Amino acid sequence: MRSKRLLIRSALAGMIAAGLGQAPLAVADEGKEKCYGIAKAGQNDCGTATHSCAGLAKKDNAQDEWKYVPKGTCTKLGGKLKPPAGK
Amino acid sequence: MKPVPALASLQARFADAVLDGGDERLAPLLAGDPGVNRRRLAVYRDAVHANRRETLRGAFPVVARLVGEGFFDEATKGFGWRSPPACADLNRYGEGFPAFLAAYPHAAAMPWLADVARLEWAWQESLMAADEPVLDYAALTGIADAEPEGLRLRLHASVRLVRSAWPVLAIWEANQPDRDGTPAREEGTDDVLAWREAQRVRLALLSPPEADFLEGLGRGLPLGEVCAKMDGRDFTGMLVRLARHGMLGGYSVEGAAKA
Repeated sequence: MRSKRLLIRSALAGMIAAGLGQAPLAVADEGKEKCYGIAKAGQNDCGTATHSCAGLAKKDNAQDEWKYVPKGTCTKLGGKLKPPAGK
Repeated sequence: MKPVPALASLQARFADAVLDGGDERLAPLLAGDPGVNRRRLAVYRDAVHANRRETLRGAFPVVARLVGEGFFDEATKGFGWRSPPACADLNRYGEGFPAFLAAYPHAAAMPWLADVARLEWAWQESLMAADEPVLDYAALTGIADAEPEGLRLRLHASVRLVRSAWPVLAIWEANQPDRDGTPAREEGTDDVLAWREAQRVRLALLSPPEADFLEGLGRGLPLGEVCAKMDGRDFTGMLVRLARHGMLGGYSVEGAAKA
């Protein structure tokens, strides 16, 4: 189909122009400050490691039912979010 | 005197006791009061759990905030015993957590929770995806002219798409550290695009046709097929957008692949 070919061709022309304009920037960013960029905000290498004393005082296998009740910000969402249409 | 097992066997028994809770094979080898031994072992077990929980909190901060401390502690414990880390790189730990939450009976009142977790994992995967050069646009010029319908564009390794029946992006945004948890929208079926640009993960809301288009690209369909998912102007706009934000990693044409 001729019009389809023309459409894709012109879209690709736009894409290539945009890509050629951006490519040097993207390359310049690669490898720069990798150590900082790769961690989530506020989380460095030490952020995920918990000191082995962290659990010292806590008893294991405590099956406290209250823990299963969400106590976070989802209480703000409760009853507000509607089920999606058609469900 | 008790027989002393080989070191490897002793370590294996200790690992069993610490990782899945069964200390039947270790206990007979320990000197001293069994009750005291059990409490001491619990310290190790708890440290293992705390490491996993904090790792998961790093990957799923919004889920953690949504459900609160006690719930998150229990959920990550349940997940951890069932799905211990398979890779020494803890940044890869948590892939199965969204599915775990989807089936977690205590989360049944929060049907959107698993999708929020899917979005957070997409964020994590996008962040950890391998670096790769963006598509070689100069080399594409001739090919684009000759055989445009058969061209297949490959998304950059950091690009992820999350499609949800819930307003997950609004929930995610409302639970960033500087927000109070109240979403700006309470309705919506969010299709969210995640990608990494200049070492940061970005999220954007897509229209359903845009998401269909991207899903088609991700499945490796040629442009002649995926272009039908959007009208002409949006199609051009989407390709320009993908190029501008470094979301294309390569291309292939019938027979010959390039990157």
